[in-house]
Amino acid sequence: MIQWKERPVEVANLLNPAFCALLLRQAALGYQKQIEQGIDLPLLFLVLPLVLHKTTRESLPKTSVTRLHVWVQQHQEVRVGLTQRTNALQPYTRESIIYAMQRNALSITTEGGIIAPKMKKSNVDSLVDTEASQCLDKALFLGRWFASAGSTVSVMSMFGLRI
Amino acid sequence: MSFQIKTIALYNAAGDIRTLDFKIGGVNIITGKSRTGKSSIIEILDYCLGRSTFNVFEGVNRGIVTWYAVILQIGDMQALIAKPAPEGLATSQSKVYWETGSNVNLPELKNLEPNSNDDAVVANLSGLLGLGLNKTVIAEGRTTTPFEATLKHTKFYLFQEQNLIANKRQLFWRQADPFMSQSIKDTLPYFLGAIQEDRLLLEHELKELSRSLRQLQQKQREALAVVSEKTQGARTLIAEAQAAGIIDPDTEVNDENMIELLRGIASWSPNQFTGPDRGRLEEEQKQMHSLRTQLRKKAQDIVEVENFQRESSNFSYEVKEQVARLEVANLFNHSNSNEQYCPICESSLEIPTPSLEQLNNSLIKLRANLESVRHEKPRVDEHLIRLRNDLEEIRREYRASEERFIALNKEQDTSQQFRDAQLIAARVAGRASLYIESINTLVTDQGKSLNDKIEARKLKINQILKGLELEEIEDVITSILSIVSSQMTKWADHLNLEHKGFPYRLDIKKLTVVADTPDRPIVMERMGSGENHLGCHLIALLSLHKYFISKKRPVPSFIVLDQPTQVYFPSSVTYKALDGTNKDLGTQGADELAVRRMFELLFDVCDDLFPNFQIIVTEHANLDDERFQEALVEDPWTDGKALIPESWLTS
Repeated sequence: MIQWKERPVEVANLLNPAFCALLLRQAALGYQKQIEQGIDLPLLFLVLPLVLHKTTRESLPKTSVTRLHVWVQQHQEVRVGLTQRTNALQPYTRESIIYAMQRNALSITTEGGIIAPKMKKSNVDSLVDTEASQCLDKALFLGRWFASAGSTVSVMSMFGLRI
Repeated sequence: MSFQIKTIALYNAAGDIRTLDFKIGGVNIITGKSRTGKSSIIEILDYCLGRSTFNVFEGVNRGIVTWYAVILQIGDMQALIAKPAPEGLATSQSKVYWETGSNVNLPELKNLEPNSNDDAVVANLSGLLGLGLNKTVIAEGRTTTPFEATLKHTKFYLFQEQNLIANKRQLFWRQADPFMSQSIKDTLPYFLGAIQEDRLLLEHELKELSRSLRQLQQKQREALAVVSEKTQGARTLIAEAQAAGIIDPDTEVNDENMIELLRGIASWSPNQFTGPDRGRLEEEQKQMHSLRTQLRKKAQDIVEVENFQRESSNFSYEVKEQVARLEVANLFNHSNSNEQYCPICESSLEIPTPSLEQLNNSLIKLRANLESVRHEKPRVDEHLIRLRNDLEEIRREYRASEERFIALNKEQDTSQQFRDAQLIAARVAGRASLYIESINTLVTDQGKSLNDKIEARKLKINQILKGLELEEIEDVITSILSIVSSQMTKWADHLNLEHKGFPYRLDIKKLTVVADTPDRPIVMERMGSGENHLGCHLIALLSLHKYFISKKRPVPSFIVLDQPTQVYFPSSVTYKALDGTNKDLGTQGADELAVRRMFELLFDVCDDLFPNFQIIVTEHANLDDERFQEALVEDPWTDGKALIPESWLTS
């Protein structure tokens, strides 16, 4: 990773740590809403690759009634290139986790799960009608979905990934 | 990658777990008295391996077990498949809890929440087994459609329940169920490896090749039809061109310059035409031509402006996206944050995270850009309107000119001739260009003649067809079955079967075992005594598994045998009366030697294939034999010990 202001403008802006951190926070929120536990760290590394990739994001189901394992078996195409994307986005995820924790937007529980503490502000106006707001919705959904999908190792291996 | 059974587990409503752990790559024996749940092992495995129908424990025990679970060992990976018992009186249930990992532990009851279903489990396990994109081969004249072999179709070779294991009419599990025997016959060639894994791909390629061959042949036919008259056709064309005034009537024609002349004719265009009479008509035509050019140019301008407009709105969309993503930074509480500090390792970061100020600076820059796009837009719109007005003006002029041209045409007789001559010339030029083109396709089509291309395609199609031939598959199956059969014959000797010494073989058309004695072939059904029937089942299934394993075929590497030794006892009553503790079988009137021989075979096969094959046996008998005692999964199931613990029933 290089200093933020030295990155290409589009990359710096579109993948800025504040936005990515908010996505991770959304996932953690969804997860803890579903089962009142912190999300496992490895699962956070799946959020950006699944949510920022347009085709994948748009093929995610509307409701968590569709089980993750069943859905992956029916959508084998989402696994194409996922490993590379996950690897490529890994430094961004790491940076965003640090960014969020510096600003108390994520924190670690004593059990090692990651939770999203309350924040004062919850919305900005410019999000209306943007891809960004769709990403935020889907990240929240992913959190809920992961929570009902079984153990972390199983979820990773459903996508063909190993920790 | 094949799999074996690591653990079977049952949960009751209180969250107690009853587990049965099995040895990988060895014989596992469970012995005990009647009605202790031995036979439900097969049903539990079947239910957990993706069958939705529930056959486990009909009767009193139903309602005690809340979840059934199986842990599979798949190479160095493990998969847990747990299914809740159907609710109430339901007879099927397809919800599944699925978990994988290098070492899976049984979750607590409260953590068992379905996260999958039978279809997904079957698909995933089939994939792990290595069941590729296969398709059954259906002989012509059958009404069934080809289908894909999955995990479901491997189960015929995995389970032998007590009323099947010595059955003289049925060899495979569920063979007697409707349509099952056909389904076994259709998929066995695939599991034996007699059908190419890539059959589906080959069939697809064949279809593509045939289509391109048809296209090429069509092209060839058309070209040949044009050129067939050869020089005669060419001479006629040239003569016609001379008459139409395309080329000088005095040009000398010979075989050498013919093609050259035809090329010239083919490239004729009305502009070069030197016909009779010009004057006003031509004037008007020129006017029309220039107007048409202007029209096209204006339209082009408009498209360009529109493109520009679209791009700039894309740009503003992009910028809007960036603004939104940057602005979320304001949601965070930056008051106490230290960009240098890493909250995870509690040290100082090499690359600090960007501060709110940095992000906001980018935001301000972006907003300025966005504004300039907005300012520019109205001016562009104005320009576009002007362009569109111009276009309309030119179009009007063009129409007027066109009308004048038509009027002039009607007025002048000569112009009529002009048009006729032009039409004739155009027709001749068209035919000449078709002629030239046909010659080109026949002679050189990207360096290769059409003929060569067609021949190459035909050759390839024949090769693929040969590979796909059904007879070819028959041959391969015959040779595979001869390998399996020679193994069967050896083991028939070992078990001291009635027709030992003569070849035993598997008949996959009738799904039975046949012994070829010198007098006549004897099918399993005609053999006397249950011992022979049991023997046929064992040698056939073990030989098949040995073959599957040696060829790494996608079939799970285990077999469950339910009460095999019953045939060695004088009656089923004496057999069922055994509670698994009595090791002196002779006193019960059993053929102890035969029982020992059978277990010896099971142990030898597992040792031979170690660690790739697992046998699970449920029994009433117990043997005073070291290997047998080592293979026992637990103490005999008697005096309250059973699959379901006694305490579960009373509480």
